[in-house]
Amino acid sequence: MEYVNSALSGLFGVLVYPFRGIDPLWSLAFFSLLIGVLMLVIFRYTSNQPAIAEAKRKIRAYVYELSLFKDEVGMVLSAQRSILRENMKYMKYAVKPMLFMIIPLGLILVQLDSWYGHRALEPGERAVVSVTLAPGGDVMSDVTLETEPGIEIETPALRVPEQERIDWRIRAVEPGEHTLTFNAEGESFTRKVVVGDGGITQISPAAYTGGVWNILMNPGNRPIPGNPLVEEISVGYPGAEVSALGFRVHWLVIVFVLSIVFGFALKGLFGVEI
Amino acid sequence: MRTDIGQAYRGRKAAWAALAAAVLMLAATLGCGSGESPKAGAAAGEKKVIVIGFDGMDPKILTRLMQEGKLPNFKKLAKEGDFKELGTSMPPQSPVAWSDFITGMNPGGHGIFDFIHREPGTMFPYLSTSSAEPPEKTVTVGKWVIPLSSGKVSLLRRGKAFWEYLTDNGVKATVFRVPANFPTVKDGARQLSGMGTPDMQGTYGTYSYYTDEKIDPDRKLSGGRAFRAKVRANRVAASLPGPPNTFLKDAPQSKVDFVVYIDPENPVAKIDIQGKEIIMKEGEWSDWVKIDYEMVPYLQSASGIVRFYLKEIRPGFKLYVTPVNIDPSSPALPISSPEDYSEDIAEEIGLYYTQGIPEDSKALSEDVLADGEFLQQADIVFGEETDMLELELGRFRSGLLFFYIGRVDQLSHMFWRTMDPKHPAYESAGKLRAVIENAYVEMDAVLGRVLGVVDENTTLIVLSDHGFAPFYRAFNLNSWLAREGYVTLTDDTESEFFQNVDWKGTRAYGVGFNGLYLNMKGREGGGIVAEGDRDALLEEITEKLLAVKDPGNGKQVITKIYRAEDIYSGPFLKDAPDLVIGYDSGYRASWETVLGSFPKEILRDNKQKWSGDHLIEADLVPGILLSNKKIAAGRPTLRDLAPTILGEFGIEKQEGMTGNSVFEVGTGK
Repeated sequence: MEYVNSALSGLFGVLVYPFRGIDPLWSLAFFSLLIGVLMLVIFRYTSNQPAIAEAKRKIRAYVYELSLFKDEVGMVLSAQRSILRENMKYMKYAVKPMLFMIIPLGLILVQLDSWYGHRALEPGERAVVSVTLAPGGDVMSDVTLETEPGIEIETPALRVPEQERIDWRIRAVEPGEHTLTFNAEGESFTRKVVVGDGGITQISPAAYTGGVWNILMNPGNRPIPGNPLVEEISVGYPGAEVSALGFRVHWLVIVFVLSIVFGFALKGLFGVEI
Repeated sequence: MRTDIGQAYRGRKAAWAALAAAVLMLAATLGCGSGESPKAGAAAGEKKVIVIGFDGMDPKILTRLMQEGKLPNFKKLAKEGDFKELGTSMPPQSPVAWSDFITGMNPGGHGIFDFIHREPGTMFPYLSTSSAEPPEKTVTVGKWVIPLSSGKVSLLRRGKAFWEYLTDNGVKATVFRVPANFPTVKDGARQLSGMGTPDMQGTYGTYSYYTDEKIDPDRKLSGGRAFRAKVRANRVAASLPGPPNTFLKDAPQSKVDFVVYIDPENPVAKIDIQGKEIIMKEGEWSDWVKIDYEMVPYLQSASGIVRFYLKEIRPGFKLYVTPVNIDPSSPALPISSPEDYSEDIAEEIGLYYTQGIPEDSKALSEDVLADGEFLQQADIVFGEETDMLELELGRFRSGLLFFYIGRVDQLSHMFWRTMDPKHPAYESAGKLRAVIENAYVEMDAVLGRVLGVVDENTTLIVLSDHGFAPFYRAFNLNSWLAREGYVTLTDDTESEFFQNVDWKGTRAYGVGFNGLYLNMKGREGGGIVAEGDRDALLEEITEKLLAVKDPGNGKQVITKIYRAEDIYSGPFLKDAPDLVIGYDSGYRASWETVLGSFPKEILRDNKQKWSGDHLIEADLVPGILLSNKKIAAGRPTLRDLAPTILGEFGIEKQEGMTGNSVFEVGTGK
């Protein structure tokens, strides 16, 4: 899974690169276009296009029937029943392409979340750094944290035995990627903290020692090298929002809307019956 | 052929749709740019008026510090422009004074006579500047109350604000935190409400205090609530009270649970509230934390903001939480106009205090916060204020900018005791002795920043609403009235709100800080004084009150008493107190008498930290007026400023305004 993440992160890094200095709305539009096209292509080749076309034609016909025979209750009820039936068929035909879309779309969305879901700390901004220890360990008092000059540790360790967790509050001082080094029982683990200047940066708040799902969902971090002491190291990066039409919205809303817009706009070009 | 046409059509449609999406994108991107263009309204020669209101700045202290060379910017402004004492309102209370300023009228015109008014039917006291009414129609279903109409929050200050005349004439106006302006009214001016803005509980500020110390159940904290916090296994579980939930029967107070995790050894703790984690060292203030109070699950919530102060972890646990302020980024009540103005400011400078008087003097008075801790809190407030001033100065191009700062007022109230050896609460307090002086020096720096943007088209006006005096001794007006036989009590308890008053045997009563009312037939609910007896009774009470001497030093306690009809005019004269009491310097109405309580002593020493005041005879506490223009008026007053500002934009003085432009010869009192 680590290799999949690395490959996808590399690819998205290349795709994002030309957009780094400009409004993230443009790169999100670009990815929405790609997603729209991808969905069209998958839909085109995995769905029963003639059957979908027929279902849509029939729905249109029955809707027309509704308007023509609106005074005849029996006809209306029959047409409504037929519309419902054809709709169910239409949805059935859409299931297969949807299943084909889930995996690639899921990977893309996880990637996009790592680029647009959180933002880097700004100089002067504070965040909580947490280490979750493996259950049963007894090293809580021994874990220490060191940083590079670009990051300042503002509090002593806060140990919460019932959560097997140790927290520190850090403050970003200078832009750049800074290393946090955690020491416990003679071993060291590191985590990068990104202090940015407003550009698009890949950020995943948590890093794990294992678990496919954990690793998959945090593509911006390499897994912590296998160790019995630590389970997770996380940095409380702030969530990011994108400005659109004067509103601040989550990136997913923009991608959802624009990919549908692009999908419908280009379906004719690709000859896809949706 | 048919297919080709269809394809071509679809292709064109696709192209148009793609183009539309691109245009949408461009519009969205452009829409990200906030605020107006820097060039907007910036035509050369456009008139600008900047008014800075320093609440409570005293002319005597200002003059002394200028003479000592500690206020170079004030000195420069006074030298190059002018500096005079500014006649304050009667009585000299901030809501009254700022209403005078806003409307150019006296209280008979704007209807604000005191911090506290009374409902004449019940004599129940209420805050004078705004009112909140629940929805008129509701339906109750089980425990739920469903409103069928919206509730209403109303500004009780009457009379048209001077900036409305400006915007009516096309002049841009930004009015920042002027008191007695909540809720803000949509009138074309950009406004953020100030003093009088409630917290989320609907009070003027109710803090929460969590401690593992034993709490005396009989001790009622003023301005806050104390909660017993039990530390178990380095963990404290508690709830933060919020607004009353009016969607439930009997409107119980909403609350949000939170947990504090304490390190077993280190002086650090973590507050876990609504999924947010705040790590704090002992003695630290948190940043603002948003709290969502759920009113109707998944449908309705109210957003507030708080700061935590981790006062002590060991040996005792002490956590202070600020009053739950209205969240400016999602305001539950109308704190700004236009509605998104408060949000706009929050986007620029971050979240900020929205309650009317943000400095938590009550927490200091109750020793919940120590002197240094209160000063830290006041510094946070001041930091936000300077950020806001910087923001507004940076985008001010033309028209009016009014900016209010309450720091001098609040610090003078709380730290007079540190610089006045005669004060009963005087402490030889070392560094604290300079707190008030330092506040003046800080205001000088603020003035310096403002002077930096003043050009030849700018008129600068700097004012305060009143000055300051010591508060040595508290006078229980209602106790005195009872002793003299004007009030009949049913028992000798000290309960509030006139609960032990027999109104059938009561001829006069005091409400608010300077007001004395007769129990008039036809006006008060249980009135017994006939109109024909009014004059004689007022004369009798006036004579007796002026004769009251402090048994401690033989000094006269009250120097002047005014009849409402002699000092007020306008449509709201009927609501005025019958007498306005002007205490001598050093004296003031007691906190107890203000809300209709009857303590046993008539006069007592004020040993509280609230040690300076101004709720006395108006002539003893004038404010300040400075300008970069010569002030022609001999004795300018607050009511002159509305016509003065209008005059600077070539707008005539309006009907009902009683003052005149201070820049015109022969004006003023």
